[in-house]
Amino acid sequence: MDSCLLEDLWARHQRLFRHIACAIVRDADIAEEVVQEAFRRALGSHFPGSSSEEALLYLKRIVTNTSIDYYHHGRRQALEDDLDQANRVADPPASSPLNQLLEQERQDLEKKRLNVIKREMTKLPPEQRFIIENLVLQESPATLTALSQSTGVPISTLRSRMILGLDRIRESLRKEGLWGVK
Amino acid sequence: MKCEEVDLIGFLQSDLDSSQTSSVAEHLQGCTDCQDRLRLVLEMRKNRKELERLKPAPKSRGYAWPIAAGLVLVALVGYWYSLNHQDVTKLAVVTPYPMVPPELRSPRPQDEFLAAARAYGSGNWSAAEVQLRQYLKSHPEDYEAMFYLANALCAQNKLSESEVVLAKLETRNPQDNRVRWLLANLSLRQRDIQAARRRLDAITHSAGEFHEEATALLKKLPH
Repeated sequence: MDSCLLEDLWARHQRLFRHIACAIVRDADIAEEVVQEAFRRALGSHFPGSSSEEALLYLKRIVTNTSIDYYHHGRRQALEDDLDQANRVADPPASSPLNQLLEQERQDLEKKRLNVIKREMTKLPPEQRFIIENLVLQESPATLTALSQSTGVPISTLRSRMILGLDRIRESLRKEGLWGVK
Repeated sequence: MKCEEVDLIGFLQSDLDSSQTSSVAEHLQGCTDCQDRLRLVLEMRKNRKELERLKPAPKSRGYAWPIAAGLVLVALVGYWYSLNHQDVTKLAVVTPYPMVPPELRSPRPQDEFLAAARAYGSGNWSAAEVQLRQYLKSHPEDYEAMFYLANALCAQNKLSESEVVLAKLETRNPQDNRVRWLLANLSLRQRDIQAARRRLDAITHSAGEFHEEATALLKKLPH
């Protein structure tokens, strides 16, 4: 990517990038780190486009993806920190039974959450499941506008259905004590 | 911005323009519900492959049972209706009673009756009616002529008139299975199943004509 164009865009849209990162990682310090990391990734990448609009879109994607990486890494890191804390308290060796037990618990928790999500997905009303399958679970999902045009359902309705579906799954996770757990 | 206006997927896909992105980001920072939804979306996307393997949702899940129950109910009602509201008129035998050829009759009928018999034999029911009425003016008590008149009327769908004539015949000879049979079929054509059954029962309990036909027809009648 043309570094001048990149720097120019970066300078003009830094606030936006921080917003994106902060919305995803929910921590101003980590968001700052995310933005810096995204900038490094952008510099090292080979952006094939030439217009500033395309470049801005590209940068937003890099910031978003980096934020998501940090989000998942952050959750993982938090769990590892907990493990470290447990290790410090008990001071067991790395491959100790306690360590293995905690790791096993983490995996079980992940599995339980996924099972609840799966179960709730199958229970969702078809219209809610449709929107989640086509927007949330697609690697390159269609835009709401495109989906609205293809189904004839208004965008606002599609959004509401997605929110209802997600809230239903979230509520089930909450009821089973699996929401808000790292 | 309201939660319903937040395009989380567009935000994550960087499909929104800068102002929209900024609005969504600002909303996300202040709305715990949308933060939760975003977390859930990220978690689901992370496990996309596992979730994609779920069986496809039945298209009409949620409505399947009511629809199936409705269909069963409709089928049961239809069955019940068909049992109780069977088109009994189709069971009725509409073939008029065959007239004994006049030349075989003894004593030989009068000419007026012969003209009616010819019309009756050729299936010209309206002419037969006219001729028989004419004949009955001079022979009002001729039981056979009245019976064939009833048949000719019946063949023309003049059911009420036919019934009046047959009622007179039945009064005169309650044991005549031909009259009972014709009345029973008239009743069926008028959807009066009870009356038809009563007359058919009477036929089956007698040893006269139409015994087998009446038995067979009784079996076909709805209960």
